[in-house]
Amino acid sequence: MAKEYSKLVELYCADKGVSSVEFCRTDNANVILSDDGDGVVYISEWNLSIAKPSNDDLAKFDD
Amino acid sequence: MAYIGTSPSNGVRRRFVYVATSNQTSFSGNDENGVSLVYVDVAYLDVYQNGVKLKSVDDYASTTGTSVVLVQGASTDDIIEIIAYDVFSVADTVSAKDGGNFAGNVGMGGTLAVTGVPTFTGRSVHSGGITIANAGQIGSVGDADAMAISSGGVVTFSQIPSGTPTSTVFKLVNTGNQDLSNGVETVLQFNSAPIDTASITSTGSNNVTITAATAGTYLIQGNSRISQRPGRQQLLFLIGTTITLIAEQSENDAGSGANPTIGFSSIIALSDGDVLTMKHWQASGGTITTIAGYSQPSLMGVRLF
Repeated sequence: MAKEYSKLVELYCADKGVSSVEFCRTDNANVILSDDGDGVVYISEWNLSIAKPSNDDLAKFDD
Repeated sequence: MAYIGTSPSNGVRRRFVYVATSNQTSFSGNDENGVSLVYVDVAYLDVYQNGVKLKSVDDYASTTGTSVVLVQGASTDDIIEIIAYDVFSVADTVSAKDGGNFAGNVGMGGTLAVTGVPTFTGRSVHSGGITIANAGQIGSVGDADAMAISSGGVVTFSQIPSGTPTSTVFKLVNTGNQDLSNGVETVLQFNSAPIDTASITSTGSNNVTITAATAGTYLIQGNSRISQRPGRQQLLFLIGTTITLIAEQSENDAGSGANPTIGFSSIIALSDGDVLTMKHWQASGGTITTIAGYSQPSLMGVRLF
C-alpha cells in the first residue's frame, strides 16, 4: 500500500461517516493497529460502531 | 577368626550314620540318610561304633576326606556314626576391633556414627540433604572456613564469593534500523543479545522468556530512538504476560533534538512462562525508523532476587 495503513483506516472511517479515529492507546484509542515486527500491519482492536474493514476494503482508498 | 563348620549355610556339624555289614571296615558314600560322607579336617572328626567313641589311628583311619576305615571289621548291624566338624576361616571380613576396608558397596540400615574425619574420594550424594551443627563451618580441605550456618539457617560467608555470577542478566539490542509505521504498535526487532547469562532471549522471536529457574524480581530497562521528532507523541511499551509498562513522550517532551530517545525502567516481578516484548508507537504522520548506535532499541534486565 502506498499510503500509511493508519491513513487508509481514517479514509475508510470518514467514508462511513466517522470523522475521528484515535490510534493512541493512552488517549482512549478506538482502533489499535499492530505490527508483530515483520512489517505487516493489521487491526488488532476495533471499537467503532462501523464494520471493521478488510484489507480489500482499505485498498480501495489507496491511490 | 575361625569358625566350626563348612559354611554358615550348611551348619557347623555334620552327622553320618551307617549300618555295618559283617566284617565291614570301610565306610564312605551315602549313609542311611542318603548323605555322602565328606570331611575336611581329621582333627575335627568323631567316629562312634554302637555309641562308643573310637580312637583315631588306633581304631580307624580317616585320611581321604570321603571315607573312614576301621582297623577291625564291624559286626552285622553295628551302627557307625561319624560326626564331622569341619573348620573354615572367614577371611573376607572387616574386623570390628581393628577396622579395615570394604572393597564393594556398603549399605547402612540405621544411623552411621563417625567419630573421626570421614574422607570421600569421590563425590558424595546426600539425597535427604545435609545438616551441620549450629554455627558449624563448611570449608576446604585446607581448613579454610568458607561459610557458617546458624541455628536459624542464616548463612554467613567467611570468604568473598568469586566466580561466574549466578544472577540472571540479559540485554537485547537492535544494531540495525526498523521501520515504524504511523500509529502502529510495532514489535521492536532485536538482532543481537550481547548479554544473556541464562539463555532466555530470542533474537528470532524478539523476546525474552522467563523460566522457572530465572523467575524473580527484575530491574527492567528499555529504550528506543527514532529518526525524527515523533509528531504528536510516541509510546514505548513493555508487554508481558501479566504486566504492561508504557512510557509516553509528547513532541514537546522529546526536546529539540532531531532523534529523540524514549525509555522506561521499573522493578517488576516475573514468573515462569512470562514472555517480554517491546513495542514502539509514534504519531509523526508517516513511517519513521529506529536508529542504531547509542540509545539504540534495547531491552535489558537484571534479576535482583
